Amino acid sequence: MSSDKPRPRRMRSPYTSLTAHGEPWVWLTGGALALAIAMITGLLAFIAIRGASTFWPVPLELVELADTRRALGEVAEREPPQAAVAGAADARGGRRLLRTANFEITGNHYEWFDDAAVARSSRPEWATAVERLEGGRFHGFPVRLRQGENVVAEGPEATWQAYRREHSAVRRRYREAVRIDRHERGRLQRDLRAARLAVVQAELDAESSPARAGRVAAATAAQQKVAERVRHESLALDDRTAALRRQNEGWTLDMETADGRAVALPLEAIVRAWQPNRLSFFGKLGVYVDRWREFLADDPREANSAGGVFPAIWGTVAMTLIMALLVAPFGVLAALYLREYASRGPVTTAVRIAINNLAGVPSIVYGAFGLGFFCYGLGGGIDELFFRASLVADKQPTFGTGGLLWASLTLALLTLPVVIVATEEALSAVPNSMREGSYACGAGKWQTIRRIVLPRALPGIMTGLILAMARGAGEVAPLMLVGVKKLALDLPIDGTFPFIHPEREFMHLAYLIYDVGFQSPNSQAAKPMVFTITFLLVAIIALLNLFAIWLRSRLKRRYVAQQF
Amino acid sequence: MASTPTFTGRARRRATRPWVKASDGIARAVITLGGIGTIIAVLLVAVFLLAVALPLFRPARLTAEHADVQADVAGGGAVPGVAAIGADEAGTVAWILSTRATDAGPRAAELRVVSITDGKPLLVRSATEAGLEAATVIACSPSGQHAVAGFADGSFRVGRLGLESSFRAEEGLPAAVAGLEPGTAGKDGETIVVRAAGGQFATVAVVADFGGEPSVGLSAPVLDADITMQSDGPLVAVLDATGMVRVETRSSRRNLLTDELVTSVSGGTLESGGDGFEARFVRLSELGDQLFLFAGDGTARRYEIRDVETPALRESFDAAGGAGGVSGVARMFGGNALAVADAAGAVRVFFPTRAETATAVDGLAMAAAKLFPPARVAAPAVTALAASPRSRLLAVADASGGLRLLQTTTGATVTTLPGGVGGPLGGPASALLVAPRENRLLAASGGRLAAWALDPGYPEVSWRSLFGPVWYEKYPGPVHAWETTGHESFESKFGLVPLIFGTLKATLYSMLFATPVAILAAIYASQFLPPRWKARIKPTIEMMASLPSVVLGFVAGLVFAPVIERWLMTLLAGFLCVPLVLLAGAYAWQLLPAGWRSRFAAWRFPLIGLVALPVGLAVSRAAAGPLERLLFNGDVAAWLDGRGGSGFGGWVLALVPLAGVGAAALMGRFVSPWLRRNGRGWSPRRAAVVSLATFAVGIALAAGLAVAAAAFFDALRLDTRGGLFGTYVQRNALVVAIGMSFAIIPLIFTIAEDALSSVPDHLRSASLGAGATPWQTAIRVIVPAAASGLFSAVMIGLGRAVGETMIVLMAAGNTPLMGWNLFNGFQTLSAAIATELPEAARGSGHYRVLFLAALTLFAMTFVVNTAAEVVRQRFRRRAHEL
Repeated sequence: MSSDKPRPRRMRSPYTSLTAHGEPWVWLTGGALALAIAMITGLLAFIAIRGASTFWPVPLELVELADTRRALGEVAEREPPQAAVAGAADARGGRRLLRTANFEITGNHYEWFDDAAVARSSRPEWATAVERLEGGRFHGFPVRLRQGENVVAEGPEATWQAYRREHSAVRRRYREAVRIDRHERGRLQRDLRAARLAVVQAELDAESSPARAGRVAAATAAQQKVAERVRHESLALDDRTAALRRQNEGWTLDMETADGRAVALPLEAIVRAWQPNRLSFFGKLGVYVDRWREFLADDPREANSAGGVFPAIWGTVAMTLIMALLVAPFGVLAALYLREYASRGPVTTAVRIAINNLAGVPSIVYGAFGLGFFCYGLGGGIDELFFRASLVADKQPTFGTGGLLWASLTLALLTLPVVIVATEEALSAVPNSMREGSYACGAGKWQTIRRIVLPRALPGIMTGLILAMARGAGEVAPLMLVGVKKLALDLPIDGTFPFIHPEREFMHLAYLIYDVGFQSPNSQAAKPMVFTITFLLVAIIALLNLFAIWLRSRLKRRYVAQQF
Repeated sequence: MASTPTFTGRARRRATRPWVKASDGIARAVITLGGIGTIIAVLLVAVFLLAVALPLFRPARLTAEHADVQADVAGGGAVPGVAAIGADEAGTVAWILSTRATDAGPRAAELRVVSITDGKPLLVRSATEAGLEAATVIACSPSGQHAVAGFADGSFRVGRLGLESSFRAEEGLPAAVAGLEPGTAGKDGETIVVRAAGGQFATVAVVADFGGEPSVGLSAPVLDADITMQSDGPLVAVLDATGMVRVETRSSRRNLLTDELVTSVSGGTLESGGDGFEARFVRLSELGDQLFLFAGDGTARRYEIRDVETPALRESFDAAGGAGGVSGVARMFGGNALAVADAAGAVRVFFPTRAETATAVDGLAMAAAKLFPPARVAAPAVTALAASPRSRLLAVADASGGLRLLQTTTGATVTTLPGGVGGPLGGPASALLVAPRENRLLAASGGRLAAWALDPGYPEVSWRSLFGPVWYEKYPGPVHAWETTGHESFESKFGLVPLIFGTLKATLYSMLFATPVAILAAIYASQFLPPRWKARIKPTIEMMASLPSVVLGFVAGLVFAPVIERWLMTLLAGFLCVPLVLLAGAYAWQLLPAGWRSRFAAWRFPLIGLVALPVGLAVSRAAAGPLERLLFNGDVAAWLDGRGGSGFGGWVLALVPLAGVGAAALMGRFVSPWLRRNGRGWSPRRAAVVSLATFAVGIALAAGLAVAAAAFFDALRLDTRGGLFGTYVQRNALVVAIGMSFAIIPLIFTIAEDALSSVPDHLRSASLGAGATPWQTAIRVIVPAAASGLFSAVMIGLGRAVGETMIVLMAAGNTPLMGWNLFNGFQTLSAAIATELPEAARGSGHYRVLFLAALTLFAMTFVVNTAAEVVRQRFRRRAHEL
């Protein structure tokens, strides 16, 4: 700069300083942040509210229409009157969406009622909501309780009391009968199948080596013995279930719909009934808690749109845990190798970049890999080697199709890069001075890693692992290919030998959301259930995340304390 | 050596303990092996996908069976020939109907059954025995054993001809056949026994029954015939030497009273000769609604025969491309397309299409969709054609003795066997056959039968058909299409382009919405948010990144989709109004005295979030109605549907962002400098008012620009409908973009915020110390320094959007459409894999194409992520240097 005379100092105009502050642009960025937060918290709050409110008993409203039609139901939605905005077509009075239930009579679960057409609406005291095993909800009024032709109680109050007295015993007997049918008979069927397959296996063996031809006869004899025993035992079971069914026979709750139509409900097909208009707060709380209990602990009913999700919770947890067990050692091994053993060079850098990349590869790609490699490749091979009998006799693959093991392996592969990256970061966060101190004391490399490095890195590794579990628990696209099913009541871990059945297909909470929400024949009635499942899944994942965040903050604190 | 005294008095150990060494070695071995193994296992994913997808491009294999296959099928007479060949389901046994030359032409001589693998004759029956005495023509239906035979006296018979396999238990088989190798045939007395490749035994019976009453109606020798099976019985068409065609349908019904099978015959006769048209070939469509006649000179005619008694001429077309006569016609699998060979050796594939140019009354026009040029320049004529009974594969034999296998969907030549003196046949083939399972190719030449083991590979897939437009049957022209499920003879459409397009569409629209929000939010969070709040807000948003995509898909598909459909105009208005209200809020904030502003600085963010944003939404809602009336004729859904309104509104909507940028640039270029120069003496308050006024003028200018440009385009009769906008479908790209932004915003935000925060503090301090305002520091110092970090954040978001499955599966409608319409559905690569892979048969072409789709997805994300990673590494080094 060659200017010799001093330039006069420029007065800054207020306008210039105003533009320099760029307040409008700051507001725009602030608006973006506010929008992001609003979207996210709004979504979470929406899911939480809709999910948590599904089971709360809602008052039943009796709507009397001007044309003398009557309907009883929960008000699911209210729309305020809409003023005409553009054309006259848009103008509409207020209306309400009633969950009218009684699908077998009305043909739908929900119905819109225009406020203008409603002459009167009230909340009758004895209005009862009945949750049935099949056919969805029933809304009506209790009339009488009878056993066969023998009337036990008549009139709403007496009937209700009698119902509460008798219902639990009837249900208990019903559940016992179902348990016998499912578990004990299922066990017999399994025994039969095992014996039959043993014969097929013996025949296959005999074909390959004639020396073992003698075993066919033995297996056949054993099969006959098993068949004899099964016939014997199932007769005994028949007696037991027949006795239970006889006791339940005839127990009927007569109800009346809002229209006055009489409906007889067999008592054993009633899951629960409540009278929301009579319930106190604590009464409602009782129903609420009971429905949550059923949701968490029971099997699903009605194409997964009612009942519980216990098998899905079980499947999610089992799969996530097996995945964690698989991914932890291998992830740590790979990270230890990359960070502590591999020589620094372009190859290591390339491998590191590749692994970082794999963390971003779409999960569906891993799903395709899992189906092709694990299910068809490995599973098919295992079937050929060990389960030929089932393959030949039943044309049924054992391992050669989706299953818990393959799903866990696929997800382990999917989360492996995440764990490797997290572990590497945790390892590199351990100060080199600590390693050097250890070597100076004469420790070997492995001793240093085991006693100094790994303990310090452990919280970081755990954080990565938990985040991987959170991702695995919510991932569903690859599972659709490698073993998740709509309905799989046989749990992968149960009381039948050999207790762990890694080849079984399983249910998963995240898949349930897709299935119930999109594949359900009646998606509107199933929607509240989907919200509850979503709420449960989000809660599980949020808990895992919070745990990881807590661990991370603990890790940070520990380092602050140990810096020297 | 004397030991030095030590402090403890004990001798110091100078050697490492052996177990420490051992454990070190073991650990090194285990970790190295395990580590490398794990890394290889992870990298194996790509290799495996490639290994599954690669066989798609493997060429077909055609290997001659061992030497003695060439069975002698001479039927006696001077020049033996072969009229027809057939094979059993497994492709182990073949039947050959040989001919004997007579003065009046070849006549059926005998029916022979031979084993394909070794050429051994298994059975011989004379034509008389089979009811085919003096038959001139035989045509078999592609499925089943129905056939029609035409005779020299103009009569014809409908009967059955073929082989019937039935399963046979292994026990009790005589030793002669019990020892058969799998895949071969043998004889037990008069019974033919075959052993399948899987080891099971079956007996094969010859069905040759033309015993019924002959149909009369034609008087000259039969030239050609065709048969197709309808639901109630066979439909046949027979052509005689005078050009007369007889069409007959036979329907069999069981009489309910007498339980007798009653066959009723109805038919009509068609005279084609007379105007110089000398029909040489006759073919029926598989549905039985069309009849085609081909003349020797290359012209052809299409008749409609829905009513068989009165065939009606619909269209005449040129079947040989002006290159001479037609030398053979074959009906392709599926029954829609006909392959026509001309005298010059070229093969064309014709099918009826619904073309707009069609002149026929039924609106159809025969299109020559594919042309296979002659095998060589010398152009030997085609002597025989045979369509595969399970795919669109066509075997072609030419006069030089060469063979070709063609795929008529993709237009690819699958494989060729050169002819000539040393050729496999030694002469031109007179009959060809692709076995029912496509495992054998048979050709008869003179009196000999040659067989090849055939492995066609995946001819329905080729690079061109995957990534280029293909002319599929019934379509008016070549298109990109993805359609993989249909009935048995469905023509699968494996075009990956619609899926790749859908993936890009989802990515583009999602990024368009999510990127600005995430980056701007990251700038605010890192530069302007009090640290105490940041500590709360950042983990919250981070946690959102792990929200399962199935949840977002469900919310987008079932909650957002109906809401957006109802509030569409409000949403569209919101894209305009919310930023405007935020800007207006900022200008209003400037009106406050400087002292107040700094005192309430901590309240700025709550003000933005809790006041400005809701006000923006309220304004959008209020503005929705007037805007809808102004731009979209009062009903945006109807406008999108193309009902009413001009193209003006769409242009305004599309151009407003551009106009905003343009107006801002104009104001910045011309107005602001003037104000800066002339505003020296103003009070701060006056400056704030003037800037508010400038803002208002800027808005007006932007609106004016947008309206002017929109009016201009509208006057040119251009419309955004059909391009950017179009008919509203409930599950569409807008819904996906909003649902996906819930997944992408947290991801981009987190990485971008990290990048911005990791810019060293001394840069910031220096900038502020030099007198820059926080905004100037942020935009001129921090953002440029972190630019590569921001870039990699966007790339990682992009990678996630490309591969996202559940959201697009649940909210995009899954229709593989092409078109940029924001309000239409689409299908992505990932959604196609998720829905179709479980159903695809293992090892089929469909299965492998889906793996190719997975590989494509893998490659797309790998490229994007590598770019992001390389940039990020560079950013890290640079940040280190700063």
